[in-house]
Amino acid sequence: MVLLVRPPGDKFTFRLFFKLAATIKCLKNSLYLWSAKIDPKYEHGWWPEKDKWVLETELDYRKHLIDSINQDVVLIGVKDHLTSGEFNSRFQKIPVIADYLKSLFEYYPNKKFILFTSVENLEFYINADNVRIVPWGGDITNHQHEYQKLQPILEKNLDSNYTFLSLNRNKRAHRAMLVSLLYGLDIQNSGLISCMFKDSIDDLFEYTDWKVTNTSVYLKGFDVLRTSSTSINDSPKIYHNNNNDNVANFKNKLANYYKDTFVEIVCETSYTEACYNLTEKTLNSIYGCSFPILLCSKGSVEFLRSMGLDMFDDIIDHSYDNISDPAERLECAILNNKELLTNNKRTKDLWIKNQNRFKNNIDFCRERLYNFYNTRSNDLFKEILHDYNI
Amino acid sequence: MTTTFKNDDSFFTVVMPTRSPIGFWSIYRWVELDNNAKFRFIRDLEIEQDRLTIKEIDDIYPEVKTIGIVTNPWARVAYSYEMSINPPNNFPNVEEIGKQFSGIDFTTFDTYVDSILECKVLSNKPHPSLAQLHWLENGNKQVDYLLRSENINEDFKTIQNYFCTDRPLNIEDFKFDYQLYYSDKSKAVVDTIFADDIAKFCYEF
Repeated sequence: MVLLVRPPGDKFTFRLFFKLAATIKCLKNSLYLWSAKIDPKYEHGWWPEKDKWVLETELDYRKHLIDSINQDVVLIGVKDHLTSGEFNSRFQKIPVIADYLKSLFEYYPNKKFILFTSVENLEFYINADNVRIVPWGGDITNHQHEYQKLQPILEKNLDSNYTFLSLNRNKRAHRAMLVSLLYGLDIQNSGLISCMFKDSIDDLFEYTDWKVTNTSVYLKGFDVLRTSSTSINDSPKIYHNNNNDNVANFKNKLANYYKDTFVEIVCETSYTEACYNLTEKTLNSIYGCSFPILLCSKGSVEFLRSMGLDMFDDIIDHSYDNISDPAERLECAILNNKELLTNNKRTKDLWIKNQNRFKNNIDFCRERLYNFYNTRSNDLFKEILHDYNI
Repeated sequence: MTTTFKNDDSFFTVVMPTRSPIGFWSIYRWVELDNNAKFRFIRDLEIEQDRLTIKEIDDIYPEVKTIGIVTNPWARVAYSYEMSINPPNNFPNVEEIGKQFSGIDFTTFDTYVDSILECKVLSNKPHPSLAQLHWLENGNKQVDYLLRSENINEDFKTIQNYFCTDRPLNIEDFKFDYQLYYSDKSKAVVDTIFADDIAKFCYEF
């Protein structure tokens, strides 16, 4: 077994991978890695000693990965998402890291691969006879024990004038488009909004390259956004020592925002790609007890619903979840839920009436969420072993 | 054939009894600097913070190879006392330790030794009278690599050989004048409480 760097907080998936790998008694390779290390954008340099500079790139890790494959059965656990930077389905067929893995599997047609992944729906991109996929939970499973002890936001500030929350830290096309749309529709004052990258974009459409029907709404919104300050102006450096301490961030910062709002437009990491990594952003929204409008890849709401979460279908219009086109999906998510996002009194009343449902979702996340991923991974793994005749 | 990382794909982790004078980081610092070992060690903070035993580790990471640290039981008790009454920065002092254990008496070394067996644990910390075997042995199974604190550089050579390296561990062997602390009575108490460790690991006063 080879361990090529673990991301922070991955205890749940790492342990699961280790346990399942140990059940295979024949000769095998087991490789566990953080996708960030095989991302073409990866580059890290340091001075190990005086006058010696070491630079490592994704090629070092890719070489190590290849060098470690020498058995017929190969288990690879790839933690985190498989998209490098932005993914635009108009120009790209497959996210870059997924493409690399696909090539790796093609390079060894006679080996039997079992790929553990943080993303759902990877079969959309990788579907070969010598590969079986086990989605063993995205970053939503990170920091399991810390989240299980986290105090949820079951009491909110009912005097708050804000209705919704929209948190946007890392620069991504769908976040830039979302915030521009909120400003373009002139509903920004109904919510608490952060957009920590806004000054790094000069031209919205040059950056996102999205096709929309109503360009002027976005451009108008983007102009207002650029020239005004958002209601949340935190530093993007929320994590110290690269530890990605999501729970501390929730307690120290986000809890206050959740107390003052009742709906969250959850802007997940994945959006334009067909495979998606559900992360702590979704989990924070659940612990923050907000009605979720989930901006993630198509089908992600349905996935959460099928897992057992209450998606408040009688309150939120989630029809956007079935739309492939990213711009149409975004507009549908916001426009069809405009009343919920802006009618402060009505939304608060709905929130008060449905408090028990938030509690149920928290109960689900404390235990059954992990059981779901555990059981599904175990079941799939058994099927694969049978299928591969291992 | 000698087993090395080249012909064996084992994984490693470190198991450490409480009150060990060697820190986890002493081993992991070496691991991080070794180009082969760094891909084979599991650093799990729960193992460290909750001081998991070899049994608990085996449940989480089946078949992982364990490196355990053992210390002369008399030295371990005296060192633990010294660290409590004269704690280095960021170490708990007597008052903080008193919140975790009731009935522990730091008045003198003799009273401390006398109170080890009878004190009560108020938190989820392991009882101070637990033998190091509690961490390092599970039924017939012992840790795969046992390193003595007092001889850690020599004992660590098995790990260096496994990874085909002579990179030094770069820590000092644990040396502590523990005999000075003991009266006949306190020695006899420790002889009794930690008789299993003394016998198993062949320690002498």
